[in-house]
Amino acid sequence: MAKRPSNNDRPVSTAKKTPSGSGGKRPANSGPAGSRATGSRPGGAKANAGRQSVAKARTNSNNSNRTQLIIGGVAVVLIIIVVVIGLVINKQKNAVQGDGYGDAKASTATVSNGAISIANGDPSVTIEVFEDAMCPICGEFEQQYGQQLAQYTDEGKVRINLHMLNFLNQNSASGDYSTRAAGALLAVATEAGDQPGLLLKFHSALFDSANQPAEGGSTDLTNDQLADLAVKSGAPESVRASISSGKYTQQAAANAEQSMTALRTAVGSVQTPTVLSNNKAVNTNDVDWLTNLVG
Amino acid sequence: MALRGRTDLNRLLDWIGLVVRLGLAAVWLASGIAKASNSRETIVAVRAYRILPESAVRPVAGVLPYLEIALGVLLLLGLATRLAAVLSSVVLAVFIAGVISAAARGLSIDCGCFGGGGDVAAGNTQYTAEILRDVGFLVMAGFLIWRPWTALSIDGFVASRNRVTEDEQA
Repeated sequence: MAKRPSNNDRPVSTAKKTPSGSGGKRPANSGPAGSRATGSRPGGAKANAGRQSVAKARTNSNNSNRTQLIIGGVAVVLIIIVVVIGLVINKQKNAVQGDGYGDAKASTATVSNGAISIANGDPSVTIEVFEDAMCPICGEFEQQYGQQLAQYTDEGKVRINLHMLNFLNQNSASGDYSTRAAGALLAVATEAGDQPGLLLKFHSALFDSANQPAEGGSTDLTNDQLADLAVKSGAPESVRASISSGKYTQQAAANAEQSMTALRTAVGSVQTPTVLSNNKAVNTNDVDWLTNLVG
Repeated sequence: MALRGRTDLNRLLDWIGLVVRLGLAAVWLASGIAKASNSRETIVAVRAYRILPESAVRPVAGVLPYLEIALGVLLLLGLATRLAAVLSSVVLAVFIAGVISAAARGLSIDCGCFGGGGDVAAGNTQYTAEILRDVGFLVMAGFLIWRPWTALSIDGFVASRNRVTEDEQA
């Protein structure tokens, strides 16, 4: 018996609540719409007579506009803060490592197991570096870490086993640039690898933005131009003929196949640049990767 | 009854707006974080469009990921939704124009929309899919410009607080 009145009450209270609840929500939510908000405000509709309501509506409108300005301002400040933090992070992440060291001076190169092995003495740390002469990200990689790699190999801290791949041949104008460039490096390593600093210097030149062909570009370097570049990097004239004739190109293609199989086995896919240490991929997006490895 | 129907529709639109807002936020955060975490790749992706001079490539590649992340955060919070949606549509329009321009010039590139990017082998381009996807995102941004008030947003929270204060004053 006692329950009935309360049961009757419920629908009434619900009926009252729904319109005021949802009616209140709409104008509240329409805040971002600016002037639209004032128009649908229940306050303005209720007191639709008399000056006071007009004044109040104006105040409401001012409040709403001010709120919008503040929200917009906060948003703009937030965007600026995020972008500035990003630029600071970026500057650290993209900072050229070992800047000022310049070209390699002391390291020498030998060919072993289908890779070009570059070191000075017998360092305890070895890294496997996989690159393709056409790969633009390898160009960025060389620009950022080339000097540091040159310095650490010169100082006998690290041995680089350089694996030149050729899976980007198809993106070169000649269709076989990656293989020919790998062949040129192989020629230098085989015939003049004992000349201090030479291999890495020629390697840097190949990835220099002034020399590296663009993917999908209309030209790349001929064998003669590769030979010129090698001689300009300090290679003896005797190497010129080997590069011009493409003497090592076939061997370079075989080496590339072998290295791509090794890379696929180690990390599951062929991507360049990839650095392996102890057969595991190194995160070269961490600017300190080499310092951390060398310790 | 009529009023009630309108209210229900509005409430429904609030929640649809929430889904759109969070969807667009997810798009920006995913693409922004992907670009930011591999900045070398982003530089190559921006350069591959061959639109900007070399001196502008690095600054743009540096700012873009974080602008995307900022827009994602604003949309996630529902803070200044309309402003974020307007900026989103501007950025998306630039992306779409870039892809169309690359296609028109016969370049073979990956848009680098969600990281990656750079040149791809001829015949491996996906310009149509990339443009359609971006147009889809543009429609989402357009929805939020048309109707920026969404459920569970800071905008809505601030507006309702404002209203309560005014009611108290009255």
